[in-house]
Amino acid sequence: MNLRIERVSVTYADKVAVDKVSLTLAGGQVMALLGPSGCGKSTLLRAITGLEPLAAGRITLDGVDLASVPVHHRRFGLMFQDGVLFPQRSVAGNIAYGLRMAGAGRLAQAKRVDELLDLVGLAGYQHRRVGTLSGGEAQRVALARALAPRPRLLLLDEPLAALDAALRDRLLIDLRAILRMTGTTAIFVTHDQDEAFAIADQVAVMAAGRIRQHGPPRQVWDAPADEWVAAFVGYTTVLEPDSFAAVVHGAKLDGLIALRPAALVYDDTGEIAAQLLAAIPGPDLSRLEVTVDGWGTVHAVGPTTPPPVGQIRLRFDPAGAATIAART
Amino acid sequence: MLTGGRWRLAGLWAAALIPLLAFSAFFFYPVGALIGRGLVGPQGLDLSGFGDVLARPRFSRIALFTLGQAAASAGLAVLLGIPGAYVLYRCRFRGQTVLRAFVTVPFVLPTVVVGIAFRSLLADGGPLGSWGLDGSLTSILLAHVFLNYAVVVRTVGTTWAHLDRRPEEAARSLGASGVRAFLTITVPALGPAIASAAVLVFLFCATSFGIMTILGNSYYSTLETEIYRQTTQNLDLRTASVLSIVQILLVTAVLGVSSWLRRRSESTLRLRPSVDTARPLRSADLPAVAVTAAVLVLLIVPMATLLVRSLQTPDGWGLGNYLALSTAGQGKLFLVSGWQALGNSLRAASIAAALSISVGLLLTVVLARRPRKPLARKAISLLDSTFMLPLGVSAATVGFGFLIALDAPPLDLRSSSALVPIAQAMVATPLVVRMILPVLRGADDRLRQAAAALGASPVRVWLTVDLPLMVRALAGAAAFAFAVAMGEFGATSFLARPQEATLPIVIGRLISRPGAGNAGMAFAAGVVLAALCGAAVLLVDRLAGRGAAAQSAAIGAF
Repeated sequence: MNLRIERVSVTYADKVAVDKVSLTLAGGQVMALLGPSGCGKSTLLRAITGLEPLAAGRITLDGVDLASVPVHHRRFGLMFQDGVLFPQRSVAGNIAYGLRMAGAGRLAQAKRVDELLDLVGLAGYQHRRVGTLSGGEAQRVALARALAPRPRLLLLDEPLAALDAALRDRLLIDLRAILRMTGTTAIFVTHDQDEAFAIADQVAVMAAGRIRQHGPPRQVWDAPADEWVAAFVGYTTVLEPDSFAAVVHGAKLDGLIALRPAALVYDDTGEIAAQLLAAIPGPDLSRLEVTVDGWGTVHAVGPTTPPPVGQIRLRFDPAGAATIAART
Repeated sequence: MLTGGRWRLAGLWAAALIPLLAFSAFFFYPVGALIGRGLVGPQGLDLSGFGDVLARPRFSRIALFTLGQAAASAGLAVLLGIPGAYVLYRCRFRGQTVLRAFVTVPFVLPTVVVGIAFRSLLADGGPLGSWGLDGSLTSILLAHVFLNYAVVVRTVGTTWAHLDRRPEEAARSLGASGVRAFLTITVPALGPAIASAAVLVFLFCATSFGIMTILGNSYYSTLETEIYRQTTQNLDLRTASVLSIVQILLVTAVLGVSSWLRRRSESTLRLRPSVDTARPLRSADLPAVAVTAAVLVLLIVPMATLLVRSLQTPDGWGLGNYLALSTAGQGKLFLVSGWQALGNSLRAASIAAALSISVGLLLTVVLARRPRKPLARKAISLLDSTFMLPLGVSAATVGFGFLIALDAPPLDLRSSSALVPIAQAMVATPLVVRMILPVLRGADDRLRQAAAALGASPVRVWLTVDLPLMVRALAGAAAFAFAVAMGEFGATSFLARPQEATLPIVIGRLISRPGAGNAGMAFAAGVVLAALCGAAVLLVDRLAGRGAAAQSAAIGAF
């Protein structure tokens, strides 16, 4: 199983939603398609599913061009933000739908439904009406439904975005485990970088219809391709190497320096002199807004109970910093 | 002493009481009298009339034919209407809004006009005269589809427009072909809308009077035309009453099934703004587009033929037929000329529209309330269905009931010219209520609460919040009631005295008499009537306007 997306474009009327995107995905891998809303990631997902016609380029699976394969012959699972369960069918009826389409016998269907309900942690839910499910349960059933026919590729369109925070974390962990356990190849569309890094073997960062960076999560994190990607994955400050070196001595300098708040830590013995403008207390640490001579206003972190406004000192923590190769 | 709350309650009671009295006098009393006539003989309760009537093969045949043709018409309208709903509501293309308004026009065209339009096309001398369809069952079914296409397209279309596409997409990704996804996912979701559209069309066609009178010749009869025949030709009121009761029972059964279907469903539909779901036409939509185009031809051709033939006189092209409307037809068929009949129609329809708007407004004041007490809520829902009953009772039944009940004290209106507009108002009021109520019920109640908190009395709240909200719907409802009354044929046939004949009555008489001059005059009168009603409905669309919800309420909701 090897998916190749080659210079694919999708247009709506006169608007280019996906612009010459190329990506590859190997069997068993999970790719996160990460980008802000409206960047074209969901459209790309729909194009892979076969729901949007390509304006240009091609998508192949194991060398076979999918252009002539209609949606229902692709054997790709699809999961939406809010379940989209079939309201007229029971939980079992929903999960068995794809099995029925594939011509599975009644017994085989029932057995597979049981298996999947066990897998998603909803054993015994067979005869529940879908209207009675909570949001999290509905998403679990949707996952089971998509996985039931053993899809060659699972496409997940922001599957956790409609859930509240605690439920999202729980389901994220389960989803990750289920994908690994079943060896499912998947593309996971999200606008949440934490989700992307938690679940994916590869991350493709998308903006305005184009892929800005594609690689393992660690690589995207450690070496954002440009300032935009850096900002999107949580780097709040980008500095010229010279102005950075003027404050932090002895740092290696092969490009722009991107800093997350955690790169600058409140420390009385630190080498950086800063003026604290404002502080927001937090449960684990406080977030500080400071000015540093030559840098302007930047973000830093401090103890849960922040220091009073005024002169403070900061320490540089390289774990919160990255080097950017290109400039946008 | 009455406190503020009590005053309010008293006001509400008054608002409910006036319509209740009106409906009692002009609906329940006549219909009750009619039922009494069928059930009660000289020696008290006497059901032998049923045995006598039902034993006669003619009547059981007519009952079966009534149901059969209505089912066939409904089936055909649904089959043709679903592609239309898809193209006009699920897709997106230039000129769509105009087309949506256009397909609505036939629904408000008077049945008499539609009848003569089909005859102008299919009868000897018409462009398709050689097809031999004049007076055939096919022509009846086609005319019924012509009239009711909009019911299916609007009822199904407005649901479809808001239906989430993604369940279908999920089904496709799970291996269902386009057709299979449509059948297993979309059709069940549209099921309630399709069913209620089908029931509505069935109902309209089962009680169809104008079409049957004009296209059925005397060969095809339904219960409705038979009631008329027994009353006016055989003067057999007892048989007519029994037939009316049979018809009421059949209609009630169908309505019961439909409301059961409606209650059973809908709850779990996943609706979204139509902007998100409509998409441009694709090549795969070609079959649906082709069917829709064919139906559009069916909608245009009869009316175009009617217009063309109204301009054809024995002496060539000209306005001769329109000029002839100042006469009473060849052989002096009536006491009034065509233009006088138009005057009668306009007068009666204006009064009817005014009556139904007044009664309808009072009703909405009560029906739009959502009280907290379960008992009060039940009372309101009971009132709601009570006032919808005239929708389910055929116009001929209402007319017939008026005839036998309102010609003696306590209500002796036999010689009053108020009878026709009152009957027309009874037919139109439920439609008025159905058009206004959704707007009021849809309004955010907090607007009223805010107004009250700012010091507005209940009357002021109604004047400053409710009235401005519904003013468009109200104007639209008035225009619609006017159009319905203008074209009303069933009840008016029973009630209009010769010197008060309305235009539909004149048309019906003209077309049933031989003579090219009479036919030409009928065509001209039909064009005039169609133009007036068409103008009224286009006004409805303009007034109900951009608010698509109000538009769909106009036709889809009742």
